[in-house]
Amino acid sequence: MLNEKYFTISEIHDAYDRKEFTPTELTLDTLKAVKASQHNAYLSTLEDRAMAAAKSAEKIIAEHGKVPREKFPLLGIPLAIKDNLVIDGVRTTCASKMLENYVSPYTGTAVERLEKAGAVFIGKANMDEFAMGGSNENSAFGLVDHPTHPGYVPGGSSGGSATAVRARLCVAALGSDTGGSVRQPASYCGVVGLKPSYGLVSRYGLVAFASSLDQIGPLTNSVADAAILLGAMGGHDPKDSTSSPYALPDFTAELRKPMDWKGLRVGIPKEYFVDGFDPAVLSEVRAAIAWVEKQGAKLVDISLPNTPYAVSVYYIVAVSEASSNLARFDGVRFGVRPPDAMQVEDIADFFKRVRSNFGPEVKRRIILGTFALSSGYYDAYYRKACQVRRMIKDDFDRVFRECDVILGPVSPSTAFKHGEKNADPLKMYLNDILTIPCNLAGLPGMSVPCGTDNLGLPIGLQVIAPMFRDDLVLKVGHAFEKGYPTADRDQVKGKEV
Amino acid sequence: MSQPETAFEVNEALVRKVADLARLALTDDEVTRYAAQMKITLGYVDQISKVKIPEGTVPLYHPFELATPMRDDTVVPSPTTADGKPKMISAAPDTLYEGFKVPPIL
Repeated sequence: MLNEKYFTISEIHDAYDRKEFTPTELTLDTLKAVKASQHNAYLSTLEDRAMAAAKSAEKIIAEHGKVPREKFPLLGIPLAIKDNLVIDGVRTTCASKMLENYVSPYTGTAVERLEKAGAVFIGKANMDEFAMGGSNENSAFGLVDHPTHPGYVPGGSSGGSATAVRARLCVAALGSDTGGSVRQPASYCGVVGLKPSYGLVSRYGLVAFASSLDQIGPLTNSVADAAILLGAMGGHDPKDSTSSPYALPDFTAELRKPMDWKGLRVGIPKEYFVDGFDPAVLSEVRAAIAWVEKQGAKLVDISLPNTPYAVSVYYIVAVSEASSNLARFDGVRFGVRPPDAMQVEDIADFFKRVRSNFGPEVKRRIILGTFALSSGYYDAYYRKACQVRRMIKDDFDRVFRECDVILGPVSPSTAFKHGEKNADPLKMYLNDILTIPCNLAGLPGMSVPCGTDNLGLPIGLQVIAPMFRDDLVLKVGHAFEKGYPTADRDQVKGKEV
Repeated sequence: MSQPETAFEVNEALVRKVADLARLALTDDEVTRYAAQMKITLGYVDQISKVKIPEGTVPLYHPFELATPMRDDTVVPSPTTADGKPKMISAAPDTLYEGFKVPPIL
């Protein structure tokens, strides 16, 4: 049922209004497609919950005669939820043996708000274990295959979410982005992926990886859909002390206003177009930028000189925070205990036996983070990294006096083959160089499909704006998506909203 | 330019020491592999030691630099399961009455 004709929220709502099919039919059909799929995009499905939500949606539509979009912007819309977001009574594994049997006793704010907006949760999406990875090869429950190119990675860590959206196994999905984990898989799979400004979406109910970097974000088939999800789940939450107190703009209403390309200054950072990046990525992104210029936007050459240090800063800050956050998986409050865990000589031995449930990438990062925070090395690594982090943020503050948005690639490459990079962690880490800076500075960033390479693998254009200008990211992305003649048209429909 | 206060070499002994601090039990193979990978990764991230930090650069620990919001210190009952037990305890690996069950440590 999710096909070329119907795969955005507004298309499905229009079909509900015309009574072409019902939420129950769409939900059943989507669950069937998930069962038949070979991608391993889901770790579990939520049939009962989904069917109950679909029936409830049907009742609301019958009462109103059509979809009441203002009150229920996601009514009857099948969503995938990354398996590091908790739902009351539902297993949340973070794709780790550590949480194989963990059933959450509460629901996170973002998920709760989407459910109140009428969403139907199809299931929990596969991911890299504890969101650590860029290829979805680190899941304890099997890798995820690319939605259109078997044998290739979908990106990560929200690889299951991106695959589910592109393979029509849901209409939209939630992911989390700590260093690019929404934008990079969106770019690899040819869907839209938005990392909101830090603080815009409550992190309550997101299993923490690196708390100063993590943000929940939508993966969708259109920018308009991303705006709908962000509007439904964003905004202040007293349960998250890092949640922004500012009022949320009406993102969808902003998209309806005409785009003033002539009044837009677009920054092009020279550090985002360097030797060593895939030539196809650079050429497609340059073509997209040339189109933006043709619409009347003013291009401004800018420099973000500390970009080359971003990966280093990230792999100190993120692993340090992770080593602290993951200390809670000790077999007391959380974690699967091995059968012999109670027969231990001392409590340290108990912890070690429980923590052997972590996979290799998680252990590698905990070790690195513990080292960076340990006595004697803290100033040289963690503190110094945070000073360079300030310099990276200052770079953005400076260039945003000269331009309104920044455009560039999302990733230096298109999707690669399974196994190609996972033997070399540093090679994998360096792949995040263009997405990490947004997380370090707290900025909103979005991947919008802009073309493909010669194998047909998708390429994303990254749109970055100042903090809390998510409206501008969405507006530019939407106008681009509507007008740009891309090689991947079926994904970039650019429907009116 | 700040340097580590303690001179160090990335080797298997360092990985074993750090793994012990992190309460991770590693096999010999893992120790060998992580030592080699840690050497490469730390060799790369060491580039930040060469960055000239302008005088007075305040470390950015968090992108959202607002003061910690305060709230009233009021007791809110914890959610309970159908049989009246605290829900938070119900998600634990092992419980006894309304507590977390752990191995004896003495």
